[in-house]
Amino acid sequence: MNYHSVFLVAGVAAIAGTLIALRRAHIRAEYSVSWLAVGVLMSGLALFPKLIERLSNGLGMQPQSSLMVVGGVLISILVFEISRVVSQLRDENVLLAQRVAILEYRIQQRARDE
Amino acid sequence: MQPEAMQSKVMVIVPAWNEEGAIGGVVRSVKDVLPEAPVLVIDDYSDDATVQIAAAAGAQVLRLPVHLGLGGCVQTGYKFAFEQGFEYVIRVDGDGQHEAADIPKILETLISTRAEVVIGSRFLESAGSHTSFTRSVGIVFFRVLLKLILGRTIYDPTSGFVGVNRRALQVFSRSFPLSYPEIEVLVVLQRRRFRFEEVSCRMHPRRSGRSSITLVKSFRYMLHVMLGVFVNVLKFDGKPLNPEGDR
Repeated sequence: MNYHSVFLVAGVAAIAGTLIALRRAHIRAEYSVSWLAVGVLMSGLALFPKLIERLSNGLGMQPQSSLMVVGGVLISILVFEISRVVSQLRDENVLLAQRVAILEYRIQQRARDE
Repeated sequence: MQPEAMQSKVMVIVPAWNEEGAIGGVVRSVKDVLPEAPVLVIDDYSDDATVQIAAAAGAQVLRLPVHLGLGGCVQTGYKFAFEQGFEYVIRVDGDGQHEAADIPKILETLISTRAEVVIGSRFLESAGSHTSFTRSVGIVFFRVLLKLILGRTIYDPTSGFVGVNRRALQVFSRSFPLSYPEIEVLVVLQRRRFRFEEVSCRMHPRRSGRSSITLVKSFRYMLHVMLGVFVNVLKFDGKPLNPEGDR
């Protein structure tokens, strides 16, 4: 199996896996876009080898190395995006937990007063 | 002891996580000193009897539905006190290390100096400082780091024995460092042109349980705090924020 085939399989798997997860509501649409973009990009690079050649020439690397670089950059972008979303969720979770605690205390206090 | 009218403007908050051995004594000692001031224990989802013991000792207990960590826990108390309209809040740790008899000193300094934050310091006059070697090294390190950033020496930058007035309360109820708040807060204060003072306070060894600080955790703590301080310095573009957060 050459590297084009590996990229094609990985790209199609990313697209198919994302669509299945979307259909089963395991992933929300707004968070699926980056995975679909990765799948399309990987498939495109595999189906149009000239793109890889141009990229390799531009980077001054062997095609295999340039594909590794592309893969690494894509994974880094995805991980960063996940970190951003997790941080946002953590902040929202703290806010909600604090609000729940304060409201629960007030409800109990009112029940005691009545 | 403070006059009753003043005490009604003060709330004492006690963040606590699995402090069943010490929390009762902490609440009672605070109530002995400020009998008219409400004591609010914020339970950070303990799995022991902290809630029941604190309530039995006469505290109001606000229980978090999940474990948030120290910063989130303290901020809950600040939010509640701000919404309830309190003028001053004194934070006392739930492990019994802080001497409740020193609360009036912090309160009086808050009122007389009009500083937004007053820190109870165990090193200002070496008044009964009980701390581990690892922590001492960290304190010295952050003392030097903060001197470079703030331009003044903070003798006990990791102290959790802190009094704040309503202006600081307003800011902290909206924005407060979540993980290791004490040191980062000082940089936030500087950025908002808040004034802070230190007063000498006694500190005791923790009354029960074990400190969660290990060597590995100390190292992680230092890295986290340095990153937090660095991020806050990065946010500072030379134009200080006013207390409401606007320029």
